Parts: sequence; C-alpha cells; structure tokens
Amino acid sequence: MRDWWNDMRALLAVVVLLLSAGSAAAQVPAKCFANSERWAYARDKETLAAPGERFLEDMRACDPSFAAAVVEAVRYQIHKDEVDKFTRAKSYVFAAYGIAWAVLALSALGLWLRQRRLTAEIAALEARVRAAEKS
Amino acid sequence: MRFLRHVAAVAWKDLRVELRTREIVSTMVFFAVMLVLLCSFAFVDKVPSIPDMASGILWIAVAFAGTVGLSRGFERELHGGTMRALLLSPADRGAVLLGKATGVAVTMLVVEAVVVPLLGLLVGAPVDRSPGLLVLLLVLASVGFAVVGSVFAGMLLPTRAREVLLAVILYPVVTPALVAGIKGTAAVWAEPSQLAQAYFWIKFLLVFDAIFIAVSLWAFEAVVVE
Amino acid sequence: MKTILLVLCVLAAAVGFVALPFLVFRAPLAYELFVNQKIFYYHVPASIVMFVAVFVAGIAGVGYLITRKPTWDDTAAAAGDLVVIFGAIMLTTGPIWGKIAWGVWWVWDARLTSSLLLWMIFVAYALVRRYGGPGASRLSAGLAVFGMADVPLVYFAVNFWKTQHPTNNVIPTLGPGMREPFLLGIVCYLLLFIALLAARKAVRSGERRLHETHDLAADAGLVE
Repeated sequence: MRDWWNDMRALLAVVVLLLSAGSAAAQVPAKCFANSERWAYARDKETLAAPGERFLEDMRACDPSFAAAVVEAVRYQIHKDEVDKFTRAKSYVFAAYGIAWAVLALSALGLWLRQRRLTAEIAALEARVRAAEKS
Repeated sequence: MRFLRHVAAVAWKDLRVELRTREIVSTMVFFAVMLVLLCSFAFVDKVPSIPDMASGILWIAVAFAGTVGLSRGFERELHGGTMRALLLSPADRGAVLLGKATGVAVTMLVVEAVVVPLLGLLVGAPVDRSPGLLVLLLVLASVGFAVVGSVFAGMLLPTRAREVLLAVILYPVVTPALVAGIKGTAAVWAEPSQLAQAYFWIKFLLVFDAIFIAVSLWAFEAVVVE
Repeated sequence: MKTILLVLCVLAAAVGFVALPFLVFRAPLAYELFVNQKIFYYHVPASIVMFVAVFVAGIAGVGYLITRKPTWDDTAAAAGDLVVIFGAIMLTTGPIWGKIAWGVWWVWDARLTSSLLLWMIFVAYALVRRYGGPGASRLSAGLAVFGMADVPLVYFAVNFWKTQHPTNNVIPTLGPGMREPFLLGIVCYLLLFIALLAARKAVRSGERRLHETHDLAADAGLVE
C-alpha cells in the first residue's frame, strides 16, 4: 500500500514537472529552436552527451527557465535510477558478505568439533592404557 | 527369488563399505565435475559451429586416450616390478621420466592420427587446412599432457587408489593445455581461419610445456619412490 | 599457543566486525557500480589470501619433501584446506558481484576458468590426502608444487586475454577512500588465515600424535 502511494507520488511529481517544462516550452520563443541542426549527433566524432550539452547551452542563452526545467527533470530521473540500482544491488551485497562469513564460521566450527573429538579420543586412550597397566 | 536376494546382498555389501569411506563416490563426483567443466570449455560457446564441435570432440578424445595410455603404461611397471629397477639404474631420473613420457606421447599421437581423419569424415571438419599448425598444436599439447601425466602416474604407483586418483589430480593441472588445444584447433578450423589466434595458442602451449616440464622433472626426482 | 590463537581471533573479529564494516560503509560509491562494488572489499582479499595459502602449501610441501619432518606436512595440509575455504569464498562472492555487474553468474573467460581450476587442484589435494594411503603426504606435496606453478597463470590471465574480469590495474589506481577498507580487508583475512592455519595445524598434529601413541600402545600390548 505504502509502495503504491510512493509510486503515485513519484508519478505525480514527474507529470507536474513535465507539464511545467512543457508549458514553459510552449512559451519558449520559437527563435530558440532556430538552429536545431546544431543538436544533431555526429556518431563517429563525439560522445552521446555532446549534443545534449549543446542543447542546454543554447537554451540557457535563450530561455534560462526552460533550461532549468529540463535539467531538473533529468536530475530526478537519474536519482530514481540510482535508487532502483541500489535497492536491487543491496541484497546481493548482503548475500555476498553473509556467504563469506558463513564459510569462515562453518570451517571454524568444523575445526572445533574435530578438536573436541580428538580430545575425547585422547582421554579414552589414556583411560584404556591406565586400565591395562593396572591389570 | 533367491537370485534377487543374492544380487541385493552383494550390492548392499559394496554400498556399506562405500558409505563408510565414501572413497569412490567423492572421487567419481570430482571426476564427473571435471568432465562437465572440460565439456563446457569445449562446447559451450555463443554460437556452436562445426569447427568448435569438432575441436571439442577431438580434444576430449585425446584427453581420455591419454589417461588410458598413462595408466596402462605404468601398470606394466607395476606388474613386472620393474619400477624399482628403473629408479635404481644409473640413468638420470629425469631421463626415466622423459623416456616414459615420450612413450605415452607417441601412443597419443598415433591415436590422434586416427581421430583427426575420422572427424573429417564423420563431422565434416576441415582437417586438411593448415596441417602444420594442427600437428604443432597436437604435438605440444600431447607432450605436456604426457610429461605431467607421467609424473603423476609415477607418483601414484604404490598407491592403492591409483587409477581413480590419477584422473582426479591430472585433469585440473593439465586442463589449460587442453583448452589451448581446443581453442587453437577451433581457430585453425574456423571459417575463415584465424591463424593469429592459433599462433597465440601455440605460444601459450610452448610456455606451458616449458614451465610444467621443468616442474615435472623436479617433482619426479623428489617425489617418486618405488 | 592457545593464548596467541585467542588474541589473533579477537583481533580478527575486531577488524572484521567493527573496523571493516564501518570503513566499507563509509567508502565512496564507485562509478557505475555503486553499492555492488563493495563486494570487491571481500572478494579480492579472499583471492589474495587464497594465493598466499597456495604458496604456503607448496613451500611447506617442499619442506616436507626435503626434511621429512611431519610438522611441515601438517602445515601443508592445513594450508591446502584453507585454499579450498578461501577459494570457496572467492568463487561465491565473485559470481554474486558478476550477476549485477555483467548480468551473468559465470562466464568461461581466462581468469575465472583458471582460478576455478586452481581451486579444483586443491580439492584434488584434499582427496589425495584422504584416500592416498600411506604415501599421501608426498603425493600431495608434489601436487601442491604444480598448484604453485599454476598461480602465475591465474594472476596474469587478465593481462594476456581480453577477459570479462576487471584487470590487475584496478588495485594500484584505487581512490583514497577505497584504499583503506581494501587494505583492512586484506589484514582481516590474513589474520583469519593465520588463526585458522595455526588451529588446523594443531588439530592435525594432535591427530597424528594420537595415532602414533595408539600404535605404540598397541605394540606394547596395552591396547588391541
């Protein structure tokens, strides 16, 4: 129930952000999008981030509030991705640590049991020797 | 009915002994696991193809034939009681090892000479491609296998569980050579031939043989007694 | 002897349960792999200690072959067991990390395959000790030397082949926040290794002396 509510809240926040970004975009002057060929992705010459950087640069020069809205939406998405990754990976990390300690603990336990059996055998042998000596 | 009862009695006797020592089961399990591993290297690839399959079959056959050759080869010394004679002779211990290993290696090469054309016939492997490289791979890997195997077989000679333990200790040590053989042969037989890869694996086998023959010579001196 | 072991164990526990988790928790998150990378602090020290154990087993085996003193054999046996134990830790924590980092539990690349083979050599070592009969100590000493010869193959495998596994270059280039938990992890595992080695060796020595005493008593006709 709680998860569903959290998801709903997240969805609401994204929708609001997009709407605001969208509405901001609706009011962005058309001249900001005049040189859109600048944002083409030259696959063999640059990284994937480069056209995005150019887009933000242009927007900041042209309509800063729109640029800020875009940046905020992206930041939210990245944070959400990180949280998902962390939640998934957390259980694996705990499992790995647990297994490491379990293996060591089991080997120590095995050793201790062997030692106990050894001492018992020694005691038994001593008793038999003493009994044989007496007779 | 009595027949079945006798069957059960004999089976139960064997199982009871086995339960107490677990000797055969644990070594069998280990050997089976090693076999599955070997087959995984040999056959499991992104896209299995004729060269990969043929190469895997070839080298698993080589590995098995080699193991049989090793145990039979040293069995003879055991039955004849000649191991002590060999070790007491004025010949250098290293010479004894290399001599025995050469015998095993030659028999392995004979087996390979039969298996390779058979593979060409049955599976359609391109066995006539770069025969020089193929022979080099086979010779280098067989020599490495034979030398390391001879040391282990010699070491295990006085042991009761020798056949079982030979496979168990030989395969983990010799598998890098077998993998090199598998990958090298697959590279030679691939479409198109990846000769650079094949040369890499030949170099690997040279280094492997150098290191492990040196270690084997030392070990034979130090460990093998009658 | 017992007090030394106790001190070692307390030290290892202090490092392992107090200092290490604290430092690991505080270590900076790695790029791309975030939390999953923290398995590295357990996986790599385990493999380092496994290599150390291989060398201890090999050298102790050689020592036994040269001197024929049983204490060398006890050390070798103990170290051989520890290779299997620390190898098990390495081979389980590794794939758990790999499942997140690469999406698969296992891949037959050079580093993983060769380290699995090294581990299997020492499983075979344990089998030889168990079922090798009276000459088992010599046989296993010989096998351990082959195991030692295998270690360079495992270590340098990442340099010669393009493998999935991260290269040896990761450790020298660790950032400042990550170096401390890593070194502490090695220290912790080494302490555990020494403690377990000493304990296993003591148990084996005890068992051996027990059998010798039993044989002496049987010879003297005191027991049958």
